[in-house]
Amino acid sequence: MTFHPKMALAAAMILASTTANAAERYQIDEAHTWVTFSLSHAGWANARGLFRGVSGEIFFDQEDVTNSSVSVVLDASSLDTNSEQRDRDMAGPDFLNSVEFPEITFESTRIEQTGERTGIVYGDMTLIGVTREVALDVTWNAEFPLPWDPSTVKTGFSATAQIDGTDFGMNSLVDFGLGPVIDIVIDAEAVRQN
Amino acid sequence: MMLSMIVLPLALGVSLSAVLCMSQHAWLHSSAIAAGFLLVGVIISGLPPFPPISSKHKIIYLLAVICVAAPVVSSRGKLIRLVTAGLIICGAFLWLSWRRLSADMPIEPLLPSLSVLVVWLVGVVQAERSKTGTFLWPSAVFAALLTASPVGLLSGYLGLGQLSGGFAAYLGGVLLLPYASLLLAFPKSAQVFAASTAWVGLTAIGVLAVSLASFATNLHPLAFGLLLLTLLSPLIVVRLPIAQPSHLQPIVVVALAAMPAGGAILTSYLYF
Repeated sequence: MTFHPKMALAAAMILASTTANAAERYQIDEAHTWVTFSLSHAGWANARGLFRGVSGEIFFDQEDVTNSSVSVVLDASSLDTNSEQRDRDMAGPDFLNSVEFPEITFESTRIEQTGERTGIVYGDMTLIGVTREVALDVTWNAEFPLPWDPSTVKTGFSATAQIDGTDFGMNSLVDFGLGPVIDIVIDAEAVRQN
Repeated sequence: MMLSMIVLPLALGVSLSAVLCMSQHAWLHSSAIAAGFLLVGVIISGLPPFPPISSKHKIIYLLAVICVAAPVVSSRGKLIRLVTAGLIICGAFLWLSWRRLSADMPIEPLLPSLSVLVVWLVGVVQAERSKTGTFLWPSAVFAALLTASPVGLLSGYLGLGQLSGGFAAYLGGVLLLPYASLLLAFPKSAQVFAASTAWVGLTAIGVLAVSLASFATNLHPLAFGLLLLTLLSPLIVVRLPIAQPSHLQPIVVVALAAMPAGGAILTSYLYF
């Protein structure tokens, strides 16, 4: 049998389209997604907060999770730490700088399966204009249709990560005895798109 | 924090003025004082990345621009000094705010920063005209920096509060020895010193004020307006008979500036 480069290209394209099709597209459900964080408040306690504005999509291949991808955008000004004054300070140029950088983004680059329902999602997180690789420990919790609407299928994940604020240029954290290590906990629900 | 914000800048200012008192060259005074501002900026904010990412980084680069421009404009005419500093302030406004301008975000918060330009122009023009009272404008810049520090801290821009405090400590150190020598003998070098300080100081605080107006998350417009008024106290002081002996002028400038300064700090505190 003679090998033709055009045949190889066609085979590669068919293979690529098959794997892409295997991953279902999900839209993150903002009302049922919690992106929370905590960091040391000068050693007294852990200060906690969450981002209310979350959007994004997930391409989830249940057969081969390494073929999946995640893209998330957080509204930096939607921070809520249970104090308006603190939220304003955190939104300022010393911390999240939400006027100049209104979005915090995460784009997955590769996924490693670690268990039947667990994996590590590596990706580029961009915070205040600085991009660093972040690893999310993810657990896939469940997927089933809404009991009152069988046509809507929902899936859910929990994830944790740890970042150092100074890696993103938030050196003021240290000046004010905060962090600088920030623990991130995410609980996300997403709706399958037909 | 106190070490980098007060002790080091103060020591740098005193050391620098001790060295510069031996020289009569305006360009040397200008460049050394501007370099001191830049160094204090780096001590407090750290070395910024290249290219700069945020407006905080850009402030350090703008201080570097003042540093480069200072020796050049010090030996030129008044018009060149005025135009150069005007370009730096306008450039700072556009460069610092371009993300907000390009992202269709509300521009109302930027309007106060335009008033910086007006006040600053008045300051530079009057500083250029001032033949008497060599410490008039440097004292006003010192008072304005001292006010900008708590206003910045209370207005949600902690980094700028730290930077202003460091600059105030540095400028205080710079002015200390020449003022002491003014009280004792009034040497000629004090005049060169103060004139150079006025240009560099006014331009530097112009950059800080634009940044404060553009990015502080909790800045009250009244506090900002009163802060700018502290910079104009020399306009009144030159008309006061009590302030005619030169050595009294810095004291009267700071005392007069304390009124709007107190109002600015109180407003920021109440709005905190």
